[in-house]
Amino acid sequence: MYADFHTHRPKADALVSAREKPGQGLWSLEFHPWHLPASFQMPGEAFFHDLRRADALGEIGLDRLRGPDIAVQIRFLKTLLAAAGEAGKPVVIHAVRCDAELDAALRDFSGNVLIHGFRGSERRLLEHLAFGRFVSIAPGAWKKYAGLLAARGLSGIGLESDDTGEDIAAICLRAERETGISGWAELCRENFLRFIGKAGEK
Amino acid sequence: MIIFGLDPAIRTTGYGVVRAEGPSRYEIIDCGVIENKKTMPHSECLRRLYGGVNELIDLYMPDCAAMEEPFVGRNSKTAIILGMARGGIIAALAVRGIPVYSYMPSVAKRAAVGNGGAAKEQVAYLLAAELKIDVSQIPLDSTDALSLAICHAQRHFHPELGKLGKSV
Repeated sequence: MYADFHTHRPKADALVSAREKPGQGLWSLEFHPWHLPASFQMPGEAFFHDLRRADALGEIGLDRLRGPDIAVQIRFLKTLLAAAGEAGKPVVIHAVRCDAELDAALRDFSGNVLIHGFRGSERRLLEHLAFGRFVSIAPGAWKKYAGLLAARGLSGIGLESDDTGEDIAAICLRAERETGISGWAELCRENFLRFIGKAGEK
Repeated sequence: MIIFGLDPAIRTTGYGVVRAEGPSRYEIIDCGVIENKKTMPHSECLRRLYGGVNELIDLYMPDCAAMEEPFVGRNSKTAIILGMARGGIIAALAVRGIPVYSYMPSVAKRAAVGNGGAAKEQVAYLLAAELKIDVSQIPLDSTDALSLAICHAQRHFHPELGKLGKSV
């Protein structure tokens, strides 16, 4: 069971929540920072309605290199985190060059957090894990954490296909081969189910 | 965007508040020092630092803060005391939800005035000239803090100049 938790399909209006929900399986409600409007607008009733049905909220987040002004993004993020907290949903985070802003925004959020497409430093990876966040490593970036992950294990770690179009099972095998760490597929799946609050399910 | 630069020390903490409206559009809106007398015990110094930073936050509502990266010289006692000052300030910022980045002092000075080893006086003169204010309005102990704020503004608006500092 893998979920399409990640599409970069631009939406005409990020305030209109995703309607293309798969009939089965898991799905997340995207509110991508790239597609936010230039000024803050409170998400509408449709968003809150869909959030209750979604398995997670995301990608949401902050991107200093793309999207509206960072202050607008922060306001959206805080609002979305509050909504996710209230609805008891985990969040998938897109974060580019905004570590401190992200840490500050997540301080009051007690739900599960998954950092998507991580390719930062080892130090930052350890910080995320110390905060109890799940970290999904960007395709190919696993090589640079091989030593660290071999020493600490894969708890809280995931892999993703992102925009590559590559099959996730093939990615897990490639990670296994290139890092020398076995069991990626199984552990990633376990971690993902823990993130989504369905640990113990098949 | 309002950036709060801070150069922590237990006795003289420099601060600078810079408004950055866009690439190369920076304005100093305040700079100065939070001073503690030498006779004050550390607990009182920390209380005043925490309170002083909070007052400045209330006044300027900064979007983020830039601080000096800690360093350890030969004297470990000095490093511990500096660590206390940093801790008091970081706690004040964290409680108010203000994101904090840290930069090496030399990186900040190079960003602000083009020379990582510039003396405080040089930094003050160059910043005064660049930002068109009277040099007498810039206390020397606040020059590092201003450099930190400007460095962060540059990295924010010109990502090609380098990465942001470490998240604190």
